[in-house]
Parts: sequence; structure tokens; C-alpha cells
Amino acid sequence: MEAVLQSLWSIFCLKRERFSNPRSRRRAIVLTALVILLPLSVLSFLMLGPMELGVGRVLGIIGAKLGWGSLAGYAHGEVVVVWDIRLSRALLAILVGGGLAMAGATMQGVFRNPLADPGIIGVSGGGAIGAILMIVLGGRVLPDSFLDSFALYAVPLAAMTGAVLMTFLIYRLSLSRGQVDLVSMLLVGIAINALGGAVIGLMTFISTDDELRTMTFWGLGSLGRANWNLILPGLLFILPPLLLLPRYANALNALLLGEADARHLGINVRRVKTLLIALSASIVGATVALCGTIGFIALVAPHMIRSAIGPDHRFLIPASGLWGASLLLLADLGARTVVAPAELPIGILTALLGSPVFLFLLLQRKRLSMAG
Amino acid sequence: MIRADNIEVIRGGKAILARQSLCLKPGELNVVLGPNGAGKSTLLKVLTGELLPEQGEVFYEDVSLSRLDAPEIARRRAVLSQSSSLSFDFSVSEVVMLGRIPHLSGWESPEDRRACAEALEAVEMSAFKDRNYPSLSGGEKQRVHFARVLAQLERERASSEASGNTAAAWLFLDEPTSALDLRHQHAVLGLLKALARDRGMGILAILHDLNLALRYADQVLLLSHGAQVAAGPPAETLTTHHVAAVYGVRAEIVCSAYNNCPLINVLQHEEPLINNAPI
Repeated sequence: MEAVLQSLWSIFCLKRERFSNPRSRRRAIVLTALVILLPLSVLSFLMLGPMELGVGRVLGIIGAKLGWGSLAGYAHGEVVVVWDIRLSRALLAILVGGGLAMAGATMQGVFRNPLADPGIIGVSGGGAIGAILMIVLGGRVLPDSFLDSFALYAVPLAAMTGAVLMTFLIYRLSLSRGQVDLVSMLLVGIAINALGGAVIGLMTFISTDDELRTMTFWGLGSLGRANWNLILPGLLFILPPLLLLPRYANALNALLLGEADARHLGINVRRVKTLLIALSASIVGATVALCGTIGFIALVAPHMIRSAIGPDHRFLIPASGLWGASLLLLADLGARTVVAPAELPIGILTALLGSPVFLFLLLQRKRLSMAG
Repeated sequence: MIRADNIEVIRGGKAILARQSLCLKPGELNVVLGPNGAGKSTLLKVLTGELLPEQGEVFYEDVSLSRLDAPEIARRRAVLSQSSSLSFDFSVSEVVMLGRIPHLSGWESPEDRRACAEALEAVEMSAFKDRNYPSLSGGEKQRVHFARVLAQLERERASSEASGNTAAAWLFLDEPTSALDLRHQHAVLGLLKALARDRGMGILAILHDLNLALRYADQVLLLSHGAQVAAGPPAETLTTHHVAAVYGVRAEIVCSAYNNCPLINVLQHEEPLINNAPI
């Protein structure tokens, strides 16, 4: 994972700095902790659940699957649970959680507003509209032979297109005198989420039972659909933009000063902004296609990292990625163990976690603007 | 040398800048003066490429500004805007480090950190380096941004010595003293003067204080209603006649007994700004 390499590299760079100030010391501690936390989260994710397995058995099964040792001695059920069910789900959680958190951190930088959560401002809604249009209308318009072989890719592509188009629209509409206005941004989000709701409602009306079942899952968001078939499109659509984001960290830092000042620092503002909006929105779109709208991870993870180590995007983006991945892994672990053997939709859990944070941020802003 | 030829900017059918030509030389501190709405900031925006004029062109060392590469310019030209809307929790030293972005490829080197430390030292903000930027006062924020543009123009000593790169550095400042106390106003202007004289930097600053201009400027440009009223050395430009014509106030020019510096003393408003003022 690039995010992991990136953060190892940042720790290395911090070491050269000899921790010259309190913030760089904190960064080193936080990044190290996050790098250690991620594999631990994965391990507990693989061990816990309705069927509990020891560390040795989990590692043994994965090792055997990767070619070290043999599967003899493990029950077929155990192998299926660890490898096919839990590991694919863990990878999906890492991709989606890390992707959402990094995309959220980027969007908050571009919008220059820590409240720009893709779920709230309507980016995910755009993705859901795209995905649902493809599921319901695509099946009627496109030839079956095409859908049979490309369904796994067509839906994410439609969701990504929807999310990207919607983000440009939101950005345009919430811009007033070169600044993203908080109130307009949130109002545009309300409007777009309402539009999304209407489109989904309309499609429910004309969809078949089969399509309906696929669609309901978009509203709540769940990692329950995870299997190895889903990992390939996930890697294909989420990883490339994810790898590109950290390269624009310095440009994002400059953008926080305002567009004019960023331009004076040699940043091609128009190009960078367009690119970053497209990259982050397509990540969000792809995650929506894979597991529905999982809210607030993109808001909460970057916010917690920002208050721990500051807004420097060179550290914020990789650290948010690591923390978002761990956060979603642990949330999903909770979602499938708390009411086991049934399963809580993960979207409910992240909303429980996220909405208080959002309200807190909103109130904090209000207090600040009243004080200033 | 930076040259502007016949710049014209029109907004809403009205000329904000009319046929303004200008020439900035390295090693000179140029000060632009004029009442509110005279077109000072517009001129600065045209000179820095932020605003494209309806007519006319700007040349940096005889190359048209529109044909220059943005990152390349940013390494030798910095701009201090009137206000920066930075609300994220950067520390003071991180804000100054943002000035090094044109020189960075990813991570900062000890050279970059040295440049930032020196810039903070120059504006007397070293003690604040680990403070949270949003918690500073307006004047302190202004000094931090001043340090940021100073850090931006600091060149790597090793590389500039090796390549014999002597291209001039340029600094544009829009009201750099607007939030500063008396001592820091003079500290900033003194520093600008020293940068121009000792390092051959070409500087253009918009100011409102005529006495600061008289004391520190090499060249003064007096604007009114988008047109040049006078330009040249400060003592010849800021005459009682021009001050009356541009600002509508009657003034005398006195000479300091201490250092012979001319000072403008306002006698009375020709047209009082507040008609019904008590007493």
C-alpha cells in the first residue's frame, strides 16, 4: 500500500528533522501508532466473529493459501471463513475506509472547509444516482452479453461518473466570490440528497424485485457483499486515484491560503483543483458502487488526524488513509459481532459515530464566527 | 527589470486603470500611494499576473508575463496579499514553510528550514514559531505572512553560488503595514529598504502613510482615479500641491530637525469628511 509506504517515508523524514518541534514529535508518534494499528485491526477482524479463531490458526490458513505450509489440519469451514469471507471483507474495508478518508481529506482541502463530507454535500448521492441508473436502466438498454461480462465494472464506472459530475456542480454552486460558502455548500448538499432520494424512489417504482434487492443496499451501506470478485474492481478503481493524491499534498497546502496566494506560490490552481476534485470524487463514487453510502468516515477520520497532527496534507492524507482503514475495519467488526449472528448495517454505526462529530464541528464554527 | 506598457483595466464601463505605464528596477523600493479606489491594488494584480488587463502587457526581463511558467516565476517573485483567509490550524513555522513550496520537491531540506528560521527572525516572530496560527492577532498574522514571502525569495545559497544565478528577485506587497504598530511599521519598511539596497531586490509596496513613503521609498507613484498624478523620488512627488489635488487636504511639509527627513503635516480638510461632527 502506497499509503503505508508514504507514512513510513514521512516518519523517516521526521527523524531527519530530529523532532525539532512538538508537532513533528507528535506526527512521528501518531504515524507510528497508525502503522502498527492497521495490521492489528486486520488480525482481530480475521479472528473475531461468530466463529472465533486463534492467531496461529488465522496466520496458518493465510500462510497456506499464499504457499507457505499446507491446509491439512484446518477444517474446510475455517478456511472459507478466514480466506473467502473475512479476508476479502477486510481488504474491501481497507480500500473503502482508506479511500473515503483520503478523498475526504482532499475534498476538505479543495473546499477549504473541514465540514466538506462527501455524504453530506451530495457527492455520494451523485454516485448512488449513477449506480442506480446503471442497474435499473442499464439492464434495459444495454445488451445482456455486455452486462454479463462487465456488470462488475459498469456500475462502479457509472457511480464514479455520477459522483464526479455532481462534485463539480456542487463546487460551482457553493462558490461565491472565489470562496466556498459553508451555508450554500450544505444547502446544495440537501438539495442533491433530496434529488438522489427522488431518483432512487422513482427507480424503485419501475424496478423488478431483483433490482430492488440490489438497490436497497445503497441506502444503508454495507460491506456484507464482499467477496474476491469485488476486490479486483475495487483495486482497479480506487487504488490509482489514491496513489496520485499524495503527490498534490503541497499544492493542497498552498490552496489553504486561498487561490490567489496559491497561484503566487507557483501552483496551477485551475488544473490542480479540477484534478483533485475528479480524483477524490471518483474514489467516493467507486466506494459507493462497491458497498453503498457509508457516511462520515470521510469526515471523522481526517478531522481526528487534523486535530492530532495538524493540517499539513503531506502527513494528513496518508495518516487519514491509515486511520480511515482501521476505523472502518473496527466499525465493521462491531457491526457484525454486536448483534451476531445477525449483522448491523455499517452505515448506521458510522452515522452514530459521525453525526455528533459533525454537529460539534458546526457549533465550533458558529462560535468562532461569532467571536471573530 | 519589470515593465508595464499602457495598462488599461475596465470594470463596468469605467476605467479602473487608464493607460498606466511603469518600470521597476532591481535594487529600488517603489511605493504606490493614492486614496481608496485609486486603482493601486488593481495595478499590483496586473503586475503579478493575477488580473489580465483589457489592454497592455507586463514584461519580466523583456519576456511577456503571460508566457512565463508559474512555478519558475514563484521562485523569484513573491506577493504579499492584503489579507489571507487561512483558517486551518497550521503552526506559525508551517505557514512560513508554505513559502518554500516553489522550491520543494516533496519534503523540506535543512536549507528550507534555515530560510524559514531566518525569515521569522527578521520579522521578530521566532518566539512564536510553534504557536497556532489562527490564535494570533491581526498584526502578528501579517508579520507571519511577511516572513512567508521572505522565505519564498530566499534562494539556496549553494545552488545560486554554483550556477552564478544572479537574476533579480521581486517582491510585491499590498499594504504590508495595515495592521502593524508603529515600531513594526518602521521595522518592515526598514527591512524592505535593506533588501532592496543590499540584495538588489526589486520591491513594490502599496502604502497609505505618506510619511513612511517619504522616509523609505526610492520611487513613488501617486495614483488617483486610475491615473498617474505624479511619479519620481518621494520628495519631488509628494508636494503640497499634489497632496491637495489627490487627497483633498491642505498640508505643509516640514523638515525633521533630527534627520532632515521631510514630513507631511495635515493642516485641515479642504472639504470636511464628516459634515456634522460635534464641536
